[in-house]
Amino acid sequence: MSATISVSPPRGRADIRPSMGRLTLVELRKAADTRAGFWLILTIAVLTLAVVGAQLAFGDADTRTLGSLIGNAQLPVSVLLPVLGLLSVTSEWSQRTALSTFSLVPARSRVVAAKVVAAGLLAVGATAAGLAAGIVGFASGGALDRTIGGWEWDAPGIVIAQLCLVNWVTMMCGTAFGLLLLNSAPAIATYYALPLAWTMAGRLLPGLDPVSEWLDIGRARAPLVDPGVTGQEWARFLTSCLLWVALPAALGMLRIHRTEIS
Amino acid sequence: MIEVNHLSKRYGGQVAVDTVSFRCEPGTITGFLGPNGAGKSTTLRMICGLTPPTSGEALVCGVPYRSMGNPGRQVGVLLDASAQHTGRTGREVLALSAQVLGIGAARVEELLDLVGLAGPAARKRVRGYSLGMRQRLGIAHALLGEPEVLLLDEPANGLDPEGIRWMRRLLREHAARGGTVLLSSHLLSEVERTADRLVVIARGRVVGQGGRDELVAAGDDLEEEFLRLTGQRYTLEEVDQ
Repeated sequence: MSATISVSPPRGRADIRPSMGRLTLVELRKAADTRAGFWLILTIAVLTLAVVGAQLAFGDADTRTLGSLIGNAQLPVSVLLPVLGLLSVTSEWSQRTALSTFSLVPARSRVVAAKVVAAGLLAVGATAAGLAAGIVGFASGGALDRTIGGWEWDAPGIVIAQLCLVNWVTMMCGTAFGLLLLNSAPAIATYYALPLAWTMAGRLLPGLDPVSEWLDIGRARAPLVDPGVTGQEWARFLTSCLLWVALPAALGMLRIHRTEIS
Repeated sequence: MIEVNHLSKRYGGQVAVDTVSFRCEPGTITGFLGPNGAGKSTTLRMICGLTPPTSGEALVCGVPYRSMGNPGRQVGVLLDASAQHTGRTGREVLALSAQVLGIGAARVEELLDLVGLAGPAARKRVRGYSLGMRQRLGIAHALLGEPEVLLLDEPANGLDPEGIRWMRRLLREHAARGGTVLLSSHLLSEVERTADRLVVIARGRVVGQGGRDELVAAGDDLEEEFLRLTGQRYTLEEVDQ
């Protein structure tokens, strides 16, 4: 400890609240500055490379095309990345950092908004990284004579936009479960198990099938990997998003707004 | 300045804090004293807008805490030294909050040095910190934004005697420059030596407040008075734990 105490004299100062940009940067930093966050991001990166590599090495001929490589390179991102968004919310409670977070920013909705924007940026960034992994994989596979077909790809713009949208929605879904449950382990378990249970229920109970088409997010997002999504498919996707993203997010926001932070 | 007006908190039928009122003036250190479970932490959380009060209000620097845009520049808060992410380094904890407050990295280094966590300790993750180190980190965190008001819940917990003396001097100097300090403790001996004014709370109610000397009736000992006020004259061990 230094002997001299350098706390400046109290004085009046402008009470300017931190901008949304600043809060978002802080949330992005918080996503990666812990061991858990760092390893999760690293795992996703390694798995993405592994998926591309394994597909080139062992995949059937029809999977060694550019479109297939790019599509499958998104798998680790779409499965694991939502946990990062989920943890960015729940770790505030499990690690009890909510005390200092909300002492510094009393407007709780601004913190939540910054987390949602940060999660969205991570999803877009991860989609781009997955895309790059697929393209690099196709190029190096081509050099080794392992690829099928050329660089031509059906409607790449729209498919990339759709991949990006699906990853973003999945990330929002994970974040929404974090907001709703505010506890890491139950939130992760529910995030993975509940949609799956719903899918199984839809298969086992034939009467549920027409409902399941509209409310099963796994099924509703499936058409988005290809171009030419119909109006009805978009409507189903949107409906399932309302159930699995908007509803838990809204309930979670309400809970965070009213809850006691301790 | 802190103004607490008729603050109450009920959980179901249980009254945790019952119409508590007190003021902390600039240039003073107020000791918020009471046995464990008396309602000290709940009151402090209500002042910081983290716990919604059932009734009453608290003003910090003349306004409700939650109406401040960047409260860390006016109020330094330490509610629980253990409430930090165990996977972050001490430096990272301060750097994140400095970024929220909009202050430079130099301030982080200055504070790490001030609380004795510079060097290898700053690069260590909080998981490996002792309670005393976490407490020092918490104090550094509270001081980051050069606030006028300091609000500290049991800051002496886990500090060694030298650390307690250091903190006492830090708080005295802060008050001497016109700052306001509110610190809670269940340890009378600690508060007695640091605070100018005392607010004694028991079972959610303020049972006594005033200058340290006023509180003690002629010839009486402060410890006796504290135990009489809190109705714990016969359970000294519990208060001292």
